[in-house]
Amino acid sequence: MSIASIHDLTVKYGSFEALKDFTVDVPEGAVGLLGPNGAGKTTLIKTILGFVTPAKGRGEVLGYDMSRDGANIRQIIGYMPEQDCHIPGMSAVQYVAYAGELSGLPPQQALRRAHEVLEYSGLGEARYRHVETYSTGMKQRIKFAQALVHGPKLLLLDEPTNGLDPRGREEMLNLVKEVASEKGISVLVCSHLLPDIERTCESVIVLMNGTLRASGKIRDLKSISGQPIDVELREDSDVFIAEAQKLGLQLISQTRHTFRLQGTGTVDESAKAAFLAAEASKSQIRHLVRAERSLEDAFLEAVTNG
Amino acid sequence: MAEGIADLSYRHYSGALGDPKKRWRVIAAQGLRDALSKKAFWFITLLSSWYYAALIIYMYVTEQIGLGGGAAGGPNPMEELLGRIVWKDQILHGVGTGNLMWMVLTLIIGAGVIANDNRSNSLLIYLSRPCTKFDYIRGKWMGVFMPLLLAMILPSLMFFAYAALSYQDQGFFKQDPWLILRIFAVFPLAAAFHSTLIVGVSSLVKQPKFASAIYAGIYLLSSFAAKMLGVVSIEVDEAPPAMQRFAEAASYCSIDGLIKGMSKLVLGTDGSPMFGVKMGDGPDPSLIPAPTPLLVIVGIGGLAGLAFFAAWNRVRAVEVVK
Repeated sequence: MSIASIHDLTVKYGSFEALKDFTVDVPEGAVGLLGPNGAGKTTLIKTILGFVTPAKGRGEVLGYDMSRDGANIRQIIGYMPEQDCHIPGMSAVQYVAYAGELSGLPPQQALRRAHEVLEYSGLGEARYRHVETYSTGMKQRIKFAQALVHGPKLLLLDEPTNGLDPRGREEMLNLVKEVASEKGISVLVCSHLLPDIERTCESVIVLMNGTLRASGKIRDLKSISGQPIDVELREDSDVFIAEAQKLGLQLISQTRHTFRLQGTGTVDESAKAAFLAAEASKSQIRHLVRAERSLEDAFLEAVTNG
Repeated sequence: MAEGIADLSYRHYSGALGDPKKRWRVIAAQGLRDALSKKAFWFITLLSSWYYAALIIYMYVTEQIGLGGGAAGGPNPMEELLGRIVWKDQILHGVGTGNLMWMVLTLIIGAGVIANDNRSNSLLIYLSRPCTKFDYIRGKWMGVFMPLLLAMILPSLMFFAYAALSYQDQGFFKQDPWLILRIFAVFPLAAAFHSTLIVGVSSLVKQPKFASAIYAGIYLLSSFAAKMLGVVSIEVDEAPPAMQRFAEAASYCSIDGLIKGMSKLVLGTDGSPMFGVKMGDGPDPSLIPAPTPLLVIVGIGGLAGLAFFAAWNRVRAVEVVK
């Protein structure tokens, strides 16, 4: 089931087309929005939020029409912008409670949930401090908290790890992953950092120059046709290769002690043949895994072949 | 009473959410809270009511002198004073003497009302919620208007209550039975004018201090120029009538001039000397006749319209470069 479906969407800034006849179905769960700078990722998010009016096309988000039901859509969406956007002169609790009230929470509920989501986001006692005194990492957390305070069904996270140190990045990614996998909230993560997307998302949408280049499960995008396997041996062995070839496996590539082999059958059949070849050649298999591309390779292929 | 934190892990919220059409009220309430929490707000409000305080003291002292017999054989000074006092003119003087302070209050409350959001990108926070641009501007406007109205009208209402309770037997209500209604028209209009202008100016900049400088600059320069023309209109007796009329009309062509002009029209008076006593032989700028309604409507409506237009065009979540 998709949480958003967009058809033939064109968004223009003056004469520049930021999105061109863009059509996509955004599935439930954690979805990464990938693309180089200027690809149209943020424009897509801002169109969903109703910040920009499309030149043409239509879309539905969580069952609401994007052109007619903007307020209803924004009521059930949480948005974490890329840039700092804190209301000056407020403590974190006041800020998040205010954001909750703006989303329609009754004042008492807003205050209560502000405390809860700030605690959940890891701000602890710092939530009583003024936001202006926060570090970059804390500001990212408070942006995350304000997006979450009203219990949205969909979170739009624009570059959630921007400016974070490795530890902060790790913690933020864990939060995003947890929200998506354990709290039942669909998350659309907009980023140009492939490892972040790979860590948190099950699916990706790849954009380039305002057009859709690829979309689907990350697992599928990374898969290689022919179902090859990667076999890591303790040490190089020509005998192993010879035995494997006798059993119908073809050597595709070799990186140090790792061989990429491809059989004619399933992955299980290829693995079985690899074990038999190892036994025959008295080689020790250290690691055996279904071969797949890195997300980076899949991404590069999507943006260069489009 | 608010309950404690029940659960420190994230729970989904499944309760009711408010009507999106009422989101401007949240913004307005926040603006009101911010304004009322400022000590400067109360201090300036107190300062702006100095005329009423001085008049009450003057009347009290005069009354005491009257009770003590006054000048031997002479008329009762209090009766003389009450014979000269026009109550609605005292409200007009309250407007005239409070104007500068209200400008300062407007800056304190309103200079950062949108400028702060422009600087901190927090427009994204407002507009990414079920809150339209109109809701946002309306909420911000109300957040300036409400505290400003409170600061403007409270001293006048207190003065009205004092005068009504003290001098009802001396014909307070007979002089102008509709005075309370006039008060409830003058101050909301003045507060609305200030609020609209500052919201417009604030939307143009990213720093409250720039909004303050622009608003104070426009206010003071236009006020100075208009006052000069006001002086000309009453000083130059030999001036042709057309020039006289032009100078009189021009003396209202400033923010405080328009507020004073509007107050004269609503209160239905051309004004009289402060404290009911003409000081010295020189001309009194407060005695310039009320402007035409058209001038006030065009002046206030035009400036307020411009300010709203500026805010409407500047407030947007995305900078669109065309």
